[in-house]
Formats: sequence, structure tokens, C-alpha cells
Amino acid sequence: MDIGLFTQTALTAVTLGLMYALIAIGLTLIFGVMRIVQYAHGELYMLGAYALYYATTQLGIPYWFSVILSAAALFVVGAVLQVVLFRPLIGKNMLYSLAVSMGLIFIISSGGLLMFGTVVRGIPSPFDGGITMLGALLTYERLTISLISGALIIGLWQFLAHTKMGMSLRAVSEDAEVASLQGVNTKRTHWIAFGLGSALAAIAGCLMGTLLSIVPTMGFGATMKAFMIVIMGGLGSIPGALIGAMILGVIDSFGTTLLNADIAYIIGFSVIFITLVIRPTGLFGQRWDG
Amino acid sequence: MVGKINDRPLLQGISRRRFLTGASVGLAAPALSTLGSKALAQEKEVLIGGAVPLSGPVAYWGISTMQGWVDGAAVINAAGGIKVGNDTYKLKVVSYDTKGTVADSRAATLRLVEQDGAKYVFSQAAASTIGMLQVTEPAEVVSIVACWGYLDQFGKDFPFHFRAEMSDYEQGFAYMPFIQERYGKDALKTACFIGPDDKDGTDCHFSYERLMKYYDVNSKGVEYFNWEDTDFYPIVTKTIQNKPDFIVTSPTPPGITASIVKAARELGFKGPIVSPAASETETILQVAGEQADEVILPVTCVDPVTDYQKQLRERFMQHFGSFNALGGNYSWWVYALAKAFEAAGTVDDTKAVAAALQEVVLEDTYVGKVAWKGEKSFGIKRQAVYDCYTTVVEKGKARLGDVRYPALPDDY
Repeated sequence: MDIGLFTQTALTAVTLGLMYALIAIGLTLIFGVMRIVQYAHGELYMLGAYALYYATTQLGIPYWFSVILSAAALFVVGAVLQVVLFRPLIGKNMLYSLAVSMGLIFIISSGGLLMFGTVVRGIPSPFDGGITMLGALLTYERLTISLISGALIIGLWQFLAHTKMGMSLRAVSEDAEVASLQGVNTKRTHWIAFGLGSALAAIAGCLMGTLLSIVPTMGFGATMKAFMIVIMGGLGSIPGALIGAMILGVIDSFGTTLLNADIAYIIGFSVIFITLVIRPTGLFGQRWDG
Repeated sequence: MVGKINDRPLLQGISRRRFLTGASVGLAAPALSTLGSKALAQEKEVLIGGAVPLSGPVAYWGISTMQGWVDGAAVINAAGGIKVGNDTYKLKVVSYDTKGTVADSRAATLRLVEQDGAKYVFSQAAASTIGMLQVTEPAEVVSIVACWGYLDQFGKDFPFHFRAEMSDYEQGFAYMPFIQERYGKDALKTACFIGPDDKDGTDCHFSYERLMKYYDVNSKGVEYFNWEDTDFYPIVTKTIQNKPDFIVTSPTPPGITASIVKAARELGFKGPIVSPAASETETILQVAGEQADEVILPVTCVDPVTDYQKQLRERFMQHFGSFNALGGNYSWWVYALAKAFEAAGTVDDTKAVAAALQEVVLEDTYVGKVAWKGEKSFGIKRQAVYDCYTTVVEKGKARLGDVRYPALPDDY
């Protein structure tokens, strides 16, 4: 492997990892606070991408403002979903919320096919060009997506560590009952966490939708990746989601380039299995069943 | 001629009212028959069933296929129907959703054949075709489909089964001469293949290898992607390490083609990229923009040129609100079947209709001249071959680059 190919593969691994992380942190945030696996997370990612598509191409709204609008809209959608569908299931068997989120997958993706049609669409990118280093190219588009992903992850981390709302979220994720006794409004915390997780999915959908192309069925693949990452990193752990995403990015990039895409998939799942055998809670997870 | 049934011009001034009247003849016919009119009693109908994906990831293809049949049936009905012996038949098209799965397609076809009594069924894409075939062949029901792979389920052992869309193999005998003329034969000595990691992908790779061998092109690599893949950088990085003169990606839908093209251009690949399955340019241009230059799209006539093509697009826009090249590509099937009914002199004897259908030649369709070929390859003439309208992208815009009938080898 020459230096150019190695650098290109490594750059792809890092950018892929950061993009995966952006999808996964929303999922892990929702689990951490509410103890539910939001399987329809990828569908919100898809809705975010379509919101950007219609805002930019149909309404002519500038790209970055459209991204913000998409995130805000999906924040509201997520909050409403939590209040209407998931709040009544708090404290009940996890299978109930599993059934609801699985149902949401079909409702949102089928609804998407009806509303948006079956045609694959592309979102014009606001970026052009890139920088070359050691014989490898990093486009400004991928660089920007990576920087935004990194900034959002760090921002979320800081938000959880240093703000009152962030501390409330952490308190609820540690023990909702005790947090409630300490005066934390758990209901409010829940819908904010759900909304925030959904907004992050929307931003991921916007950024990756520009990079790739969008179709109403795109959510399932995103959920699969995010779920793999979250399981490997540890359910509810943001550092775990970041590390898990980077590992998967490295496996996908180097595995595909050196071997092939199917073997990369096999390696990815094998690493998850090995991780869970050695550390059943994932890399940074804690026990949720005790 | 496609343009005429019973010597009546078909394509002139069909109003929305007439179109819908024609399309809904099946609903109206039972009510009309109660009037007891002798003239009406002689007007019969032929049921044509669609077992097509109308939802799910491949719905784009399924809906386009169905639209072709509905449009053609309405045109034929509006022109008075099909004259077979002393009877006049109108066409009724009924479609059920296969969701793009084998099991749902089998169920949909069973319903069409067993319950509705359809003797003619159309389908789209591999999974739906395989499910449909489990029902149609044993029941001696004529099937007309778009399906590239699964060649073990095609040919003389499946005498009622017609494949009306050229696969990447047949297309190759049009696009390879075209790109050799465009870029020079010496500039295209090596190629790489990118396709999905399923039977469609491996079948298309098999066709690609045969094609490259025929044209003396050295195949330097093959990469398969997962349908769940979101980023094609790793696959494309590996592909262009082989330094191919051109890349063939098949069967990849427009969105994935766009992602592959964008990644290839960003990573510095400048050669032609041929996509025999994309059949659409809008997404490719949206995603890749000017980076899509020198993308070659066989069987993709996105901008109608002939009067027939323009009229077809107008009807589609009027009645369905949209039009795409695939809808055009599939629009001739119904006319071929109608002509076979007339030639066979029956709509009931499917053996006779199949025998007549294989001899049908259409001169003026959306895809130009159509004939059934493949006798030497498959032991029976069941593969449609037609003019290949190839679109090329230049300076960020798609334009028709070439039209030619595939120069198939003598042993095809």
C-alpha cells in the first residue's frame, strides 16, 4: 500500500467515522436518557435530508439556513413523538417502545414514499474543490462535514457537562427517580433529549444527503450503522459512540479498500461480537439491567 | 406499426376523458353488457395483469412499467381496441403490488392468474420476476418482464417468458462501439466493474466479462457494494487503484451511480463511467454536477426527439404528472402484445400468442425498432433488442449522444 493510498484510506476512515458518529450520538443520547432504543432514528435522519432538499430546491432558502430549519423542525417532530408515543411507555417493558419505534420505521418510510415519491434525489452541494495532502484528496465538503460532526459532538459533550439542562439530562440518565426527587423535571428532560437526538439525526441527514443522494428508504441503513456503533461503544455513552464510530469508519475504509465491502461488514460485526464478549456493556457503557 | 391498430391512428389528440374512459373500460364493461346491445356484446376484453413493485426501493421501476401498460392500453382502447377474428377486444390492466419481493410477487401473480383469470402478466426486476415465474410458467401464462439476471430461469425451458428490456449485455453491443468511436479504441483497453453484492450484481458482472472479452478489453477489477453502503469512497478508491481506462457500474440505480461518479471524480478518475441501469440523469447531475461529465447512460432517452417520443411524454405528463426514460422504455410492450393477438388470431391460446409475439417487429416505438432475438444464446427468441439511445453528460448537461441498434454477434 503506497503512501497516497494509505493517506486516502485513512482520511476516508476519519471522515466516515465522524459522519457515523453524528448519526449515532442522537441515538445514544435518547437511550441514555429514556432507556429506549429508537429504531426509527434513521427515518428522522431521512426526514431531515428531505427537509433540506425541499427548503433549498423548492423554496430557495440558503443551504445553511435550511440545515438549521431542518434541525429545528425535526427537534419538534422528535419532541412530539416523545410526548405522544413514548411518554406513556416510560417504566414499562422495553419491548413496548421497541414495537412503537419499529412501527414508526414503516409509517415514516412508507409515508415518505407516498409524499416524496420513489425517485432518488440529490441535494446540490454548496462546496467545491478540496485540499491535497500526501497524494490524497480531502474535499472541502467532507472536511466541513467532519468539522461540523466533531464540533457538534464536542458541543454536546460540553452541554451535558456544563449546563444546567445538560446536568439534568445526565441526572435523569443516571437515575430518573432520584433526579425527580432532586427537583429535575423528568418529563421536560425526556422530550428535550428526544428532540435533541432527532435534531442531530436531521443534521446528519442534511450533511450526508448532500454528500450522497436521498431516497425515502435511506433510513434503515443509517439506523443499522448507528445501532452497531452504539452497541459497540456502550448504550448511552457519547464517548463510546464516538470511539465506536471511528472504529467502524476504519474497518469500513481499510477493510473495503484492502479486501472488499462484504469482508468489511463481516469484520465490523465480528469486532462488535468480540467487544461484547469481552465487555458486555460495550466499550464505555454501563449496566442498564440492574 | 405501433402507431396504428386496426389502421386507426393512435396518437393523435386523445383527451384526458378518452384516456380515462379507455383505461377504465374494465369497470364499465360489465355495466354496459347488461344493456343487452348486440354490438356491445361482441366487444370483449383481455385482462393483462401486473405483478410489479409499486412500493419499496424498486417502486420507481415498477410504477414506470405499469404506466407504460396503462398508457398503451388506453391508447389502444381509445382507437377502438384490437380486432381478433370477428371480435374486438379492449384491454384491461390490473396491477398488484409485489413490494419487490419474491413471496409477494408469487402471491400477486396467483391472484391475477387464479382469481382474476389473467393469461398475460407483466413484471419488473429480478425478485418480482422470479416470484411471478413460479406461477406463470406452469399455468402457461405469457409473461413480459424487465429482468437482467437469473439466466438459468430464461430461455427454451421457459417458453412463455419474454424479457422485454435489454440487459447490460445487449446494451453493450451498442455502447461499446459508441465509446470506442468517441474516445478511440486505444484509449479504452482496460476496465473495472462495480456492482451490488447480490445475484443481479454477479450476473451483470458475468455479462460484463463476456462483453469485455468480445471487445478485447482487459478487465482489471471487480468490486461489489452492499445496498446499505452510504459512502462509496472506499470502493472507488480501490477501483481506481487498478487504473482502468473506464468503469462500468451495473445494475446501479441513479442515486448510487451518482455517488460512485462523484467519488470517482473527486478521487481523480477522469475516464468514462458507463451505467447501463441508471436510466436517469437528474439525480446524477444534482449530486455530481459537472463532475458527472463523461458519464455514459445507455438506453436512456431523457429528451425525446421523435414525434412518437414527444407524444408519449406529453401523454404521460398529462395523465401521470411525470415522465421518465424508463416509462418510455417500457411503453412498447403492450403494443407488441396487441400485435401478437392480431397475428395469432386469438387471445385465449397463449401458446399461439407466444409464438406470434416472438415474431413481432415494431418499427416506431419510444426505443425505436424492436425485435425479439437470442435464439442461439437461449434456444428461443425471447429477448427484446432495440435501438439503444445513449445519453452522455457534457459540461454538466445531459444530451443524446448516440442512437444505434446493438451489433450483436452472430452466435447471439
